[in-house]
Amino acid sequence: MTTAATAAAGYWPGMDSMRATEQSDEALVERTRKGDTEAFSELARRHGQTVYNLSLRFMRNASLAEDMAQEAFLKAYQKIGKFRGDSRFSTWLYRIACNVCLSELSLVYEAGPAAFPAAAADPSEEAELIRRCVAQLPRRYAEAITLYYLRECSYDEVAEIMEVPEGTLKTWLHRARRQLRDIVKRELRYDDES
Amino acid sequence: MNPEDAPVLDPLSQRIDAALRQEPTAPLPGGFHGALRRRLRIAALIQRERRVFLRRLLRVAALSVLAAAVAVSGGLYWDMSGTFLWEFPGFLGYVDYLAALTNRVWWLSGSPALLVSLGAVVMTLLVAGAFVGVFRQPVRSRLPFHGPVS
Repeated sequence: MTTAATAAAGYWPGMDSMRATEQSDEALVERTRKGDTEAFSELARRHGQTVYNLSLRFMRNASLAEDMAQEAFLKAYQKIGKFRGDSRFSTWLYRIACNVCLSELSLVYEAGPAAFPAAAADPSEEAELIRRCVAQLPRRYAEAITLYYLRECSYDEVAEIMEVPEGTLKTWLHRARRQLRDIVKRELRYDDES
Repeated sequence: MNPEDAPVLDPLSQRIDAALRQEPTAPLPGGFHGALRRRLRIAALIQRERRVFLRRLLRVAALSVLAAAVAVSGGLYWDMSGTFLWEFPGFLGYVDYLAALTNRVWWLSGSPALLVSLGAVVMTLLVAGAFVGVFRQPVRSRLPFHGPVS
């Protein structure tokens, strides 16, 4: 068979030995569906850092974030058959990671939120306190804020992850910022006149 | 982000925005992928075992239903005077025992009692045979291994 004919038939030399690192996310998802855990490991290598940082921004604790990130990947693996392919794999994965983290946070806050310390003089501490205040937002606002600032995502990327129209997302972000401002003002005992 | 979409921020909001925007990206902890691979292998094994168990369970259920159907059909078709049952020593006694037990249930008394008891015996044999068949081969010998589990 000629090269053109084999390519048209969906086969090319070296295809069988193609490394997972050279394949697209969609191809790796297909292989995972057939039971190839190595393909899913490659997907985890590609998206691991982002999922971990997403989890870290929700959980604010490195070991919890690691647990949640692993939990998110496990859930994704178990539900890989339900991935329809109508969005990118990364979008679907980040959605799972958000749900895992927010579910865990809702359990934590059912038990009663930890008392926040008083206003911090050190700016770096203040920044961390501000970031912790995000967890006090309603679930969808916390998710929107976290995803928006995680990788400086555009509105349409975040809207795709959250499965909402862009207009709705902008409204949520506006309300989230307003609520977050009130929370930070209260927690840091911030005086508008200072 | 489109500059036209950038909101006009007061000082506190600017500090909030800066705190969120300037959060550094943390590196992945060492050992993350190794631990994840181990958990994935276990998850894959669990999924596979669930599928195998479900298939076998459905197979046993189908055999049981078939056995019940055969027993009822056979009982209805053949003369239940026991012509062929005399060949199995003690079998008739067991059938009579079950029939007597079943007769104590008022809605099963009479000729259905014999059919039910015969069907129960046949089903018991078939289900026992199915269990032997299911668990005869060690499960581990059927697992495909993709390298050592670390």
